[in-house]
Amino acid sequence: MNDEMIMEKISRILVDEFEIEEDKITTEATLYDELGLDSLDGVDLIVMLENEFGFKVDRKQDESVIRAMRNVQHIVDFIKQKAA
Amino acid sequence: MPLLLNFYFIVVLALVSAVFEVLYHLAAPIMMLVKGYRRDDIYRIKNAVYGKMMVRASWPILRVKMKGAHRVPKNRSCVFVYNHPSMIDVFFAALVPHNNLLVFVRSWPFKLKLFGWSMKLADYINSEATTHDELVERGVKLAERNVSFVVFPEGHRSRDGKLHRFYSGAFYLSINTGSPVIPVVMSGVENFFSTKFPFVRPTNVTIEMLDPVYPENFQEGQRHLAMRKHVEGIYREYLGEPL
Repeated sequence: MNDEMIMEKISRILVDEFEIEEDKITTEATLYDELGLDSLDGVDLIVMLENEFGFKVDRKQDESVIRAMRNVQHIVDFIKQKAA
Repeated sequence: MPLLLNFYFIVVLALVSAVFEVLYHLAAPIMMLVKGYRRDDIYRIKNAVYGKMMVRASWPILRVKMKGAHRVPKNRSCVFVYNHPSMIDVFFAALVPHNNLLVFVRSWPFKLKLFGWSMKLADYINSEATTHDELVERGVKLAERNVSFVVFPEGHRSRDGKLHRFYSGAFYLSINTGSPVIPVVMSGVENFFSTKFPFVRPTNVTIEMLDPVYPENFQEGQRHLAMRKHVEGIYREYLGEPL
């Protein structure tokens, strides 16, 4: 799966589940400031990504990576890493 | 006329505030010592009563019509959620038929001199500095003591008059405490207060409490998300905004 396909799925989740306007969603958009997610949204987003991409996040092992996620590109990179 | 109304509003509310604050702060230690009440309970009830008094003392400039109080369960914790059309909504939030109300507040109001102090004494929750685990831990203990919660799920005031997307915190709290969500719809409030003179305008406000939404009616999994969407849908339908 290439970056574009991953980005498309992430965008769909952000629009459908978090009601974020589509034109705000870019790879550089920051999750908390620009897209307006809060910490609980972050946890929900991880669960949705697990379901969408079929991987399992180890809350302890992946905690530092998840905490470091600041923008949409970081999510794309995380998914690629989990899928590899 | 606007000058007179504004003068009346400022003088009456300043007097009510001053007398009430002084009397309550004198009475609070006595209630704690003699009756054994907890400090946070005393100040939460004080803030709710103060909000009710402020709104009532604003008559006839402010005419409030309450609807649906009979729908609110008595003697149990509830999560009251509100739309947020104006900067003074927290006063109207106090009009619900519960008094021990814990309000979710963003960081900045805690920095206000008098109000911030009052909020700290009432142990209000700083929604920007509290994780969802901490929220549940505190919420469960408070719900057991029949404390109810006041949440503005949009997170901030609507500046364009439209309903904005809801955050999940209120619904996560409801799921974890078992407290029903009471959707409260405020309309007309946005016309009352201005930051420029005249500060207040004669306004009719309607506050309606809708049917409780019970957390047990939502399926397993990310139940708080389903509940959030359901409640947001109730507001959109009521306010005639697109889903």
